[in-house]
Amino acid sequence: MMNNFHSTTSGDSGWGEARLRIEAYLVGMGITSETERERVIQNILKQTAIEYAGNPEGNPVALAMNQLLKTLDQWAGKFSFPDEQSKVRGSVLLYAVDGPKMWPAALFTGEMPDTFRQAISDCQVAATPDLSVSRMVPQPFDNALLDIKLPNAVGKLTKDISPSFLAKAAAVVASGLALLFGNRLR
Amino acid sequence: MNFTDFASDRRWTFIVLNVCLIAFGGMLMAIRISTVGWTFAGAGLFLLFLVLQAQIVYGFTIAVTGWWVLRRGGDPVRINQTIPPDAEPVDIPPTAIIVPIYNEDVNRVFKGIRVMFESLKNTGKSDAFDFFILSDTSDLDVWISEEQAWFKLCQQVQGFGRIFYRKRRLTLHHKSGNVADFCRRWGSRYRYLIVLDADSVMTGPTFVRIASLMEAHPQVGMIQTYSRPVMGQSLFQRINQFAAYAYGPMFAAGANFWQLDNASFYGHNAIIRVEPFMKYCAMPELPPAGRLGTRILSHDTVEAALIRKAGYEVWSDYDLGGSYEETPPHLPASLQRDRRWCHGNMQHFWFLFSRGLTMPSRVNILIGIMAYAGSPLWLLFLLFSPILFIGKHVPMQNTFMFACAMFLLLVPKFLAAERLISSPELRHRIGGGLKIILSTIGETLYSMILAPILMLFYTQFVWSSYFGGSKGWGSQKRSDDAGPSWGECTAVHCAHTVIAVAAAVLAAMLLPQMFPWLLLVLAGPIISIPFSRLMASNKLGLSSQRSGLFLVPEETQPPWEIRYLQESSQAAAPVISVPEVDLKDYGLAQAILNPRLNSIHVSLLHERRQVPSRTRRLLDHLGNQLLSEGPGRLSVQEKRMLLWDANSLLALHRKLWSTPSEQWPQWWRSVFNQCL
Repeated sequence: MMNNFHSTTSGDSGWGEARLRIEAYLVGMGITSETERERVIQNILKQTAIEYAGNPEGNPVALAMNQLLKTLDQWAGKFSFPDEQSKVRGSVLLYAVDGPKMWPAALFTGEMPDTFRQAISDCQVAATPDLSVSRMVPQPFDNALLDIKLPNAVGKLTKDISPSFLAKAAAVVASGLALLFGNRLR
Repeated sequence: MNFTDFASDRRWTFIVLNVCLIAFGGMLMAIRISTVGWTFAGAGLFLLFLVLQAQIVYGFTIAVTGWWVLRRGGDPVRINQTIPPDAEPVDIPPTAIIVPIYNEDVNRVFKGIRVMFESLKNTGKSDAFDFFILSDTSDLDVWISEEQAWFKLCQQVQGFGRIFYRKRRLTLHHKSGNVADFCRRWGSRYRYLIVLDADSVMTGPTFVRIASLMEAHPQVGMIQTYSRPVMGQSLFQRINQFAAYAYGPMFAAGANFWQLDNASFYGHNAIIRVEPFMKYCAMPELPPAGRLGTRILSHDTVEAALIRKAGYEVWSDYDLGGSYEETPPHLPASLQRDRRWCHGNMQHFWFLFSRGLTMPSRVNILIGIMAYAGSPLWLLFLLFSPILFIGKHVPMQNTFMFACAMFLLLVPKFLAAERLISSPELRHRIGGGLKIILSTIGETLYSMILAPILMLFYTQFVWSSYFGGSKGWGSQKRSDDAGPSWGECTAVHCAHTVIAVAAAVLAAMLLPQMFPWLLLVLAGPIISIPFSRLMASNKLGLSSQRSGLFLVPEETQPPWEIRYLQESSQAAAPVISVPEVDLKDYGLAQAILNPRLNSIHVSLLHERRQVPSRTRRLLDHLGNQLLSEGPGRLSVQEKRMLLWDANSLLALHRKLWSTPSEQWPQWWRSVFNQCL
């Protein structure tokens, strides 16, 4: 993995970890092509080495990752995602169309194939639709048990029972009794 | 539908039948008590008996009515009958399919949504339907997995803009609060709402059908489908599946016979008209009573009653098909669910006295309450009944009463078996006549053992609902490959076993003549530990399936939706697959480390508001602590704070990736490779 790039300004261990870190990040993004990963790693490390030459106190891992994340931010910026949250949305679009797997080169070369551009513009990633706020409030809890007054309750009950209800209830009881005791009565 | 005339006739017929049977049982009991002389205790026992008799008689009556209705080719008055089966589907208005979830098995939930989405696509009517996964998940790892699964699912089925995911920051008022929150935010965009459970499955044609039925009947507020349990593996699940298949349609048809436009709602696998639902069905706060609490935990039956009170009809569509659910894998998991349901149903007590509800709505509420409150009453009856007869001559009516009780309990089972056997199609689909008879006998024995065990647990649950004890609204266990261990079963059941053994010894000494009867009740709790363990066995479940016992059509001829869900091979059918890593704080690590998940998670958080500088300082401090020490010293609340803050997550992501690994604490080193 380290065969192509050689730093002239730092020991191999820091750069070795920087390379592994970039590779891990690209794997995490979903870039499956080893060739593409290697190409990106070389590019990032070269740019990092230039930066490191001007800042030899810097850590290669930190510098390389900053370089990688800056490149990705620039990509998101191309899609007019200026602020931080919008850049995230740009990244999500990238993942939604499986960009790292399908068009890995486009992320780092600046060339956008039409298919990729089309896929991005066709994709709408929204966790929820636009809000359409309305009210849902409970009706009053109209419960007879809460305001029952026992002396009145009996009177009210007798008032509420209609004669037809009483007739039906009597019919039910009578038919039940007739069924039960019919044999005995005969 | 115009059925005003015969609705009243049907309900009166039903009442007369019930009253006669209750009175008959009451007469036998009265004769029995009179042999030892009427006392206050005897009168109390008699009243208790009448209440319990009413419960049994109600079950018997709807089963027999349902059998009669089904044998005649189905009820002419049912909602599904109003549109011909081959009718051209109407244009369906916007309909939301919501799946409220709470710490569920992520892979199962999203596989279910995928299969329903695909099934709906096949109908050609899918444009009218949007799916919403409404998460109240409290487990941080599960939360991150849900986001990952949602994103994967949308990628796989091109579901962005059709399948939505919403995580609530404040999980107020349990499931009803979750649904109400959806209604307030997006309810006005939709005319209908289909509510599903995390383990529900409905087929595309069923979605289209119930939406068409609602569209055809503007006066209908809810249609509840009959969801059949499927995909059971343990013996416990398979027997319950068989019971639901054999008896369920009879009970549902019998209930529809008298309920008609005043059916109940079970909280899932149902369609709701959104506008009246939002107007009339928001859950009120309850007055304080004991430990019942003031927020309604179980909202379904109450919602049906409230929408009916507002003048909208509620129907049960019991013969539609294509509506499924899963059941708990074993008795302890089922009891955990029952504890929640019991507490919720006990709260419904208030609504019995709510003004303006219809009589059938009150009966539905009462039936729900009695499903649990009946248990302490049975226990009281069983305790006091022998005491009343200590030292007295036990009358011969005991045998006759027992025969009558068995008649009421067993006739529905006999009728169900008859219905299955007499239909060549049904008989063929579930293994033939002999297997149906053996399965029915097996299920009956199982019920006889289970009933007293449930009675003791339900009594405990009712007590704790009113007087304290843990209730909780935890996630439901829906599948379990290993089942509970012997130790777990012992812990769950040992107290009841000890009590039952002691009661048996006492009964043998004090009431030798009643001992055989009491043993029928005590046998269940005495053997509950091995019973619970054996019933949880997947091995026994599988071997009973191989023997052709307890079969249901979804096992012999499963629809493709069920086949897909059972399919475990990703090669054969690509499924959502979230890696199951046994690592604490795996979700937090992923949300920070994994570039893809970090972006997805941050994009799902609400737009940032101005964070107070004090909170910002705290978040920065927590972030630094997380980076330098790992998550071990952070509380769940602190981790949750970080996961809700987009700035912190973006900063932590950059910082962690830019830090040389020798500066990482051990924890980050160990999780690094697993998170990519």
